[in-house]
Amino acid sequence: MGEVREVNVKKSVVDSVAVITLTGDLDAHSVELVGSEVLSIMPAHTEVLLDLSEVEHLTSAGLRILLLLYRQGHCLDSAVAVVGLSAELRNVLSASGFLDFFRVADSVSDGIELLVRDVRDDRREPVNA
Amino acid sequence: MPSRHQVRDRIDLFPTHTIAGYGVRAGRTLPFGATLVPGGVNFSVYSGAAAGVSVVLFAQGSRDPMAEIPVPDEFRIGAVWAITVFGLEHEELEYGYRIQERADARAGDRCDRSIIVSDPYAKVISGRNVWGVEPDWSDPYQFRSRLAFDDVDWEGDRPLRIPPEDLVIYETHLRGFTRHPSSGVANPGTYAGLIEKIPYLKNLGINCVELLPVFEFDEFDNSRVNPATGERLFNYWGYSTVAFFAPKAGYAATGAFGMQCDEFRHLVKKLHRAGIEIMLDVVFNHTAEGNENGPTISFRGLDNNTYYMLTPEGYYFNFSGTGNTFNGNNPIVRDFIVSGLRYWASEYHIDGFRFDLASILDRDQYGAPLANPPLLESLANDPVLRDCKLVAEAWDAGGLYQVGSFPDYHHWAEWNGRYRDTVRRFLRGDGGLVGDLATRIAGSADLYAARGTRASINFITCHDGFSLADLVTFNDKHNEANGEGNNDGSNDNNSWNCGCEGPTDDPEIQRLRIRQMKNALLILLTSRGIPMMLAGDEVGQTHQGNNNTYCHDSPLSWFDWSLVEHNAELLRFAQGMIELRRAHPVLRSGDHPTAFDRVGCGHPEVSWHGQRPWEPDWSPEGRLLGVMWCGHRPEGVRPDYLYVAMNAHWESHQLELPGLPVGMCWGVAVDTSRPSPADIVSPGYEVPLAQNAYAIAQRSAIVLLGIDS
Repeated sequence: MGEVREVNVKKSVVDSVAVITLTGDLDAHSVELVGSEVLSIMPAHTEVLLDLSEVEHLTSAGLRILLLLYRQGHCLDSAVAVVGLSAELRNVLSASGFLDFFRVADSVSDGIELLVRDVRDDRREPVNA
Repeated sequence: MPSRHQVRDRIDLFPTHTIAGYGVRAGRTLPFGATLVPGGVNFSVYSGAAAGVSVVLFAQGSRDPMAEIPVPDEFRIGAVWAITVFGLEHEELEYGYRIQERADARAGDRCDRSIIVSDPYAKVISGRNVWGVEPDWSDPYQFRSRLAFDDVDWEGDRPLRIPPEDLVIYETHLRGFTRHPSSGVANPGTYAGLIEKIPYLKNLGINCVELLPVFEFDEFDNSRVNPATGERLFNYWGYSTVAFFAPKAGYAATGAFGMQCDEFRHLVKKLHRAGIEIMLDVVFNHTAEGNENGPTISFRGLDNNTYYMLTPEGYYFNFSGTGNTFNGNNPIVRDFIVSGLRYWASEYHIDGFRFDLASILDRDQYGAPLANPPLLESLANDPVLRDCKLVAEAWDAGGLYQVGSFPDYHHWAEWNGRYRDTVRRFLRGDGGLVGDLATRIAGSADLYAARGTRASINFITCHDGFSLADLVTFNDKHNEANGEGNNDGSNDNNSWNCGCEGPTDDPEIQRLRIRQMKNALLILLTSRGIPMMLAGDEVGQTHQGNNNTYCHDSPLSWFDWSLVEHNAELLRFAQGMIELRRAHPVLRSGDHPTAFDRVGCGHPEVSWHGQRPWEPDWSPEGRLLGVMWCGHRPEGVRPDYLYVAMNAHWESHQLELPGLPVGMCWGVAVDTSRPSPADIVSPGYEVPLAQNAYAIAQRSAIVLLGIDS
């Protein structure tokens, strides 16, 4: 079924924000792993930043897992933001309408600041909620 | 108390056989197509002509199959071959079917085991993922079926259900609307590109976008070249469907990623949020498989005798003019068409459909018109499609012309070709049309007496034929660039070039052309029925006299956005006329007007006038018509009075106007002879007339409103 580039999931905590860095392809192969990794973090950390700057390829399934995580975070009162969108990825997200659902930051530090500020200001609602 | 939901394993999660290395089990017969099921994919396909069916599986983009799984005959129920295959990575899967012909094949059967055919129910097709990218012609499987995700977050979106009589339809080509470099959008020529132009559409005031075909088609389905330039010509319009359930990938900025379904749904959501419906031009009269010499893509390889109208010898009837005729009133094909439209209505929230050459759908399998065509009745009464607009192009290429007589089942509307022809001829100055024009303006009761004005889609221009600017610039078509020796396209354009064939520097002619375009918009937008305008007409878009631009993926066809500024005067006029229509419900009633006083104002709902009030000139020399509308205002109790006069004569005339109640006078809202911005004024700024008379200029039109004196 074509070349499989495994996704790697790396976790760190910065200023109480869980930063999850994904590397590789976010597609049908990897969505289960990514979903379980992020969901396992959410109950403990109310702020999650998904760093996609190392994601090389994103498919429709990958977009759906991102949206699912975002929705799940909303249900758990967790704030989720994404960072590191390449120009191509941003265009795909924008054209397909998925960008409307996400909080997006330009860098990890910006994303952390955005989430911390959201918590401080108690503004955690998704953009389109 | 609700019980706690508990997920349990299903007993059909496990394969019963192994074929070609894959675990399989007897599939579910319905639904047709490929469906995600727990642990696998269910394939179901109809073929009454097959001796055997194999599911052919490809890794995405691979030329050679990774597996071929014959469907055991024991898995067949009736003529439906169904199998569930486990362990497939569905997102990276492409599939098709190989059909084994029967030993006792009938005349007309065209099963060919050497060809892999596409699934008629495929929700996604790959092979033409990016518009205009040259396909690998050596690939034996060109249009590859794929599965689509069907989980959608609609965020509360639903079809808008705008009353039909309140619509202003805007017909456009998905790619052509934003492909021009002047569009300034991030993704030109795509669903996403159209989203960026929604503010323009809102500002214009239309509330329904009708898209030329967006079902997957092959833009390379044209072998001609432009004889003047040598450039390749395309199937640009797309009236040749490859897959009826799949949005065209090449129209998506994300087509290369297989996300056209998501992108198209995003467009629908955005249009709906802006209060704009979306109607699709659908082509069920024929397919891209052509005649005996055409390619085998899907239907003909599955069951040619079912899907096409065939002569007893097995040749194709050609009521579509394109080589074959889809067999819509065959029960199996009827079910296919109904299923497809249900899918678009429910899975894409489409608000309506316009049926290309719809009279073909009225024919039986030998081409004879039916008194009670089951397909049309099924669509009209379908529970899912109940709120969808259904619009027929009520003729076909076989000579069946049904404008006014299309079987409507209290649901169908029609493109009113009579309206187009009458208004065009009146505008160019033909005499003796005043009576017919009055009938068209009042909603064509001669055609739709029992159906109301909602049955009449009024239009003067559409994709097929001259644009509005060309209608006033050319007497004759100029289709040489189509590579058919100027023999294609209609010769019956009812156009007038205003004194010079083609562009001119003569300011008088230029002014007259602008005025004629305004006259056309005024008539269209003050007529009862549902107005439809062609995208670009509001800014004077030209196609350089080509009245059949089906093959031009070029600036000849594309919307030139520089015209928004260059022809701002015309755009402002179109906006104002749409706003005027919205402000006066009497112009939009779903009923035909009567000669009765409906609002207690002392005047009938509609009355006809000439140079003198109450004395219309129905004579062969008549070229001027006045109409007074009396109805309710949207707010308040005072009656609403409108007087519309259209003078197609080359001389001006002094009009005596119908009287108004004491305390009121006529105010000039629109006069196409006046220079902008006096040609149309904002509501409340009508210019009161001191006398009950008005001098209407030659070849001009006016709208007067009853205002406080």
